[in-house]
Amino acid sequence: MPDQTIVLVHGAWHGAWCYRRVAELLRRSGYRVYTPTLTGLGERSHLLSRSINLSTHIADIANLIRWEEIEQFVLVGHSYGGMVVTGVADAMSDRVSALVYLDGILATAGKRSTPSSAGSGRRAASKCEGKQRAVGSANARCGVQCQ
Amino acid sequence: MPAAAFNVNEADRSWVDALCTPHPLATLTQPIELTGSYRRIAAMSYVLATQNPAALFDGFARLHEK
Repeated sequence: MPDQTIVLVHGAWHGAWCYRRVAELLRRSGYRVYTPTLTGLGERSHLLSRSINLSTHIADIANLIRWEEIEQFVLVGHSYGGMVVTGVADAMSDRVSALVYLDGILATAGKRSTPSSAGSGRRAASKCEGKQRAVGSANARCGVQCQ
Repeated sequence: MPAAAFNVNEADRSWVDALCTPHPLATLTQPIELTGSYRRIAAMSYVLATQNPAALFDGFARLHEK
């Protein structure tokens, strides 16, 4: 039903780029579509730092809603984005007309998206080390590598 | 994580790998704080991709059904 606003939230390691095709299709159908890139990722990867946490990413989306003055919207989260959209929806449930998990992680209060310690992230990072793209050393120290 | 680990379709794998960036670690380790008010949203759906399934999400889709 066009004239609706859809906010698509990407998953870990990704950015707005992953929604390029689907956003185009939705816009052609008449929907207003936002594909914000979460802080530290994609075209905002130059901002990567240790201080970026789940609250930062929830604020990224909540601020988009506030400053774009979006009254009602369909909120979609893919993978890790499922955690983010749950946090956003919890903070502004009156504005969310539909909440969609698109191959998304379901959040449970008090739980984090990774089941084990941060060490597992670091292990995963080192496991992928051989394949990773060249990134700044500062980035490499605070981010989990994706490739 | 390489795109292949998430069963991204073969045609898109190199594209996805080229655009992925490191993910900020603390976003994955900070527990989420919820009041539970998001549960009041009437329209809540789970879309499970089945053409190129990633096993991780089967469990969440089942959990959502409950």
